[in-house]
Amino acid sequence: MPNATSSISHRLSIQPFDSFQGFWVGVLILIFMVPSAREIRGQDPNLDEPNLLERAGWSFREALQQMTIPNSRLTDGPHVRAAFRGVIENSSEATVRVECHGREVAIGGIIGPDGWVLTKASHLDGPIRLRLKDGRTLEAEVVGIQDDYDLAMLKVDARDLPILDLARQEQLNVGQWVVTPGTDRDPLAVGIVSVGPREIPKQSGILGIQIGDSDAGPRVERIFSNSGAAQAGILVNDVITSIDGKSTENRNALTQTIRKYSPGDIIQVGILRGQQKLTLNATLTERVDGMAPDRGAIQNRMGSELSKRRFGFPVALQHDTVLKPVDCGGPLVNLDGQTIGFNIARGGRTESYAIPTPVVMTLLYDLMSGNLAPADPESEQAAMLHPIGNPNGYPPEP
Amino acid sequence: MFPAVIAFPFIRTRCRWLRLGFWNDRHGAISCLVFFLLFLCEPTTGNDFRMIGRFPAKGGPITDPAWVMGTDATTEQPVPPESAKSETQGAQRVDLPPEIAAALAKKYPEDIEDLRAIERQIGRVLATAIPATVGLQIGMSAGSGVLVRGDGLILTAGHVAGIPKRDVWVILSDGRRVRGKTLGINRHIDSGLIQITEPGEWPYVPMAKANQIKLGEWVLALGHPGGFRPDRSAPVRLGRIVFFNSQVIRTDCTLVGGDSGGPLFNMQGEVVAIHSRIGTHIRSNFHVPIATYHATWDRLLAGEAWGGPPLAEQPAQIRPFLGIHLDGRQDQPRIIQINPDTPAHLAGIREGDVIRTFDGHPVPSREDLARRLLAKNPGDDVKIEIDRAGETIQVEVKLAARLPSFPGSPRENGDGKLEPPEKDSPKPDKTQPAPPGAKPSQPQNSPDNQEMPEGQETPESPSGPNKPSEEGKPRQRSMPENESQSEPGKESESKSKDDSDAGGGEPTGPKTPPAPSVPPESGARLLGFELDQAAVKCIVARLIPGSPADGAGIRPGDLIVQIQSHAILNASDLDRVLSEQKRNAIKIVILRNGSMRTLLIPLK
Repeated sequence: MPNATSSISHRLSIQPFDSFQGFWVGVLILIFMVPSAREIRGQDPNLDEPNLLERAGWSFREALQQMTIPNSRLTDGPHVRAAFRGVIENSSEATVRVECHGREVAIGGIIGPDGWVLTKASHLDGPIRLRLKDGRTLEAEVVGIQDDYDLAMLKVDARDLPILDLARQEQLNVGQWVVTPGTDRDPLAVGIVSVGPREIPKQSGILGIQIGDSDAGPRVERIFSNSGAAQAGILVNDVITSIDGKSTENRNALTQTIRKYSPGDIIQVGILRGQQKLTLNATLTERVDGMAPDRGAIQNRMGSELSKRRFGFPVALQHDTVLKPVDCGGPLVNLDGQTIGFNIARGGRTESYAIPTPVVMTLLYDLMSGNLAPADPESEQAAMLHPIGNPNGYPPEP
Repeated sequence: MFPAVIAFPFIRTRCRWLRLGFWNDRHGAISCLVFFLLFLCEPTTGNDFRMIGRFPAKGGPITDPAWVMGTDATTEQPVPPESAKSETQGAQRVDLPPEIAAALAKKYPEDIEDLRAIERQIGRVLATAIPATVGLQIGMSAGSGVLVRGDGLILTAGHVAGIPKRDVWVILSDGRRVRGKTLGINRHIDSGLIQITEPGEWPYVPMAKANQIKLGEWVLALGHPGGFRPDRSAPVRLGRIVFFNSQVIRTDCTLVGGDSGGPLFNMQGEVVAIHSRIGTHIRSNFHVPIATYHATWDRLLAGEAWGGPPLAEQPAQIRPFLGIHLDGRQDQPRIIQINPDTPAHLAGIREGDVIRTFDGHPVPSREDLARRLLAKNPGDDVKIEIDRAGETIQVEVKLAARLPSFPGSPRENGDGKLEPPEKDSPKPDKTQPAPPGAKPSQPQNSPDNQEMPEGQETPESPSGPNKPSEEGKPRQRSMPENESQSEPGKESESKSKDDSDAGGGEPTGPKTPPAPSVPPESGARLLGFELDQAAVKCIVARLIPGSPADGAGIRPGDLIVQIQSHAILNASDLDRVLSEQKRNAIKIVILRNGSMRTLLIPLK
């Protein structure tokens, strides 16, 4: 019964409360109506029924109230964040701002006193500078990148840096406070743990075509512009015969095959164009302009910007902190001031992800030893600038 | 207030000028502005609930259901908000030690100790809150809910339940799936109930008493964003109440699709509200207050649905209807299927035609067509230009209203029938057997319906032109590559729905007056029928047996289009036109099942 579906999960609808339109309409209505309302009341003190004028008055006052919510009433307003000052006193010393080309791209956390800094990998593009709480700026280089967790180890030439207090044991309760320190006195944002560590599954990639079945196999009926398919040069009426050598006899098989790949993956598409056989390389994307995103995606984007790389982490904890994408990469701290994880992505309207510290610990050796060193710094950087060759499979954050 | 007292008489006299239309009178305008500023100075903020209630009566309690429920509640007998039946027995609220209560009561936490107190209390609340939060699956869609009784009674949002007596899968926090049924729904305020129908003892939480929330109070939101996932317990979000009135609570607990119907807990583990909707701002998260569940408990429990037609079909009955299915794979409006005996069929439109212009306007895309169509009224004559294999053909179509028997129409939904406010119809009406013809959806009572093949359109398509474009298309021929592509029409669908709500349905005329103000001597009453108060247009809700209208053959569900030579757009048109009639009989044109009929009603 698909009737209701259109749909329960998505019916959270948009309310007009935010708009200033209502304010001005309210002002106008009041200017006209209020005097009359007073008069009517004056004439008939027993008048109980709300009339249009009173309603207008109330609506207006409510609109005004909603526009003037005091900061002290907010969960992560400045007043509440100030209460966390003592909690992050030490961890903010060991927190750095990561800058590329003079722009803030992420937060990092110092985990070794001689200049080891952990951050979010996919945000890095170009020469890296770190800005410490004490005002120092240091040049950094990438010494290791762990793709699965999107973590990068940076190295700066420094000694005796303050370091994070890493919580080595997994003491994580759903509902406990989590704080995201920046380089200021007060934290960037606060929240609570929403869900304990779990796998954040990959999102399926999109080629950007619409397909129908034909005798020869799945036939391309439409190409979305700016999609991987369009860039690869796939044309309408091409018949797709294989993906990465795996044959795709019909539409279903093709859909199932593509779904196994992630956005950013490059696939080899075997094509039959007339009598001609071709193989084209196409990069899968997250979604394509002109393609209607489902309403869930729209709602998740409402109210906050999301990280580009936000799916596909083997283990992550979920918290409800409203984080900016550029505030990811740094430590997530509990009330004892211990780092219980590293923020890795803003995943949706209700969720941010962090890689738990015990997991990060298992990665440190590989990240620092050079086992995960980017193959060649030159090509690495070049690759970062061109999404197709990006080893992470994700274009850099803007 | 001193200056206000002094200024008041002065301003009143001045403003009377303004009201009389002395626009250019500068004194009037200025004093009105001053008045407005004084008005703002009135103490309207703070924790005084009565001041914040939406339309509070003078001195009346905000818990009076008339206020709580808005317009439709005027028909209700006042029910004490703390109805004993809605009291959840046995569920213990979570203890709140005094030191924690003190920390929570502060305007904001001041130090780590306050934060620790809050954290401890959150942990205790979650111990009972997480097991009682359930996922709901109704058809293809997902929502959330919360168990408030050991026998499996679940609070949810009205739009999650949709219509009464629907089958529901309830997914408990441990992943068990059990069957349930939807009970009552108040669509106006978006509240609903669901009952687990399998035997068992279920974990549950207490409902808070009505109207005990405070601004700035700490709350926890639970639910299943994006639907229940076995690898994830219900994500917990912390927030505070930033605003509330009798109809809605706003918090900064972030919500997203799938959370609908989930619970908002206070720091004693009681349900204070149910998630309902969100705004674009991250802090615009809206919940249905628990007070409304208390106030309407008996109705909800009895499986009543009221407060408007089901969301998806809101204006369906008064929407113009063409009777075509469009090819969802193309932007241009190409017809792939035509239902027999629909306006399009009668006008000679054929499958394969592409609509070029509608009412003189070019319609390059399906969306354009939907928008143009929804701007018209049932009964309108519209010129359509179609392209049939390169040949341009002009046709004229008389638009119909959506057929009651058509899937997706309000009356089609079993017991979730469209319920006009009960004001004019005493409750006994419902217990008595319906007179023949009262339910036009039953073919045996209304032979016309048999002209309409059932099931040609899926139930999901309430609007003729656009929705069928996806649902009605032969899927085996073409299927987009993956999920997000598979619904290319989804956006346009929601858009056009908005369009229709905004202006498509009722482009002209004042709205029907609020329910209480319909005089008993209205024109409709004179003829012997009552109008559907939920609809803007003149739709017959019920007939007085033996009345002129009854004798003339008017039936419930008929849309009154014309009287003599006057178009009837709404109830006030009807009243006006009827009062002008001096004849012994009037000619009335109605739309029934998509076809127009002219009936003669004798007047006394």
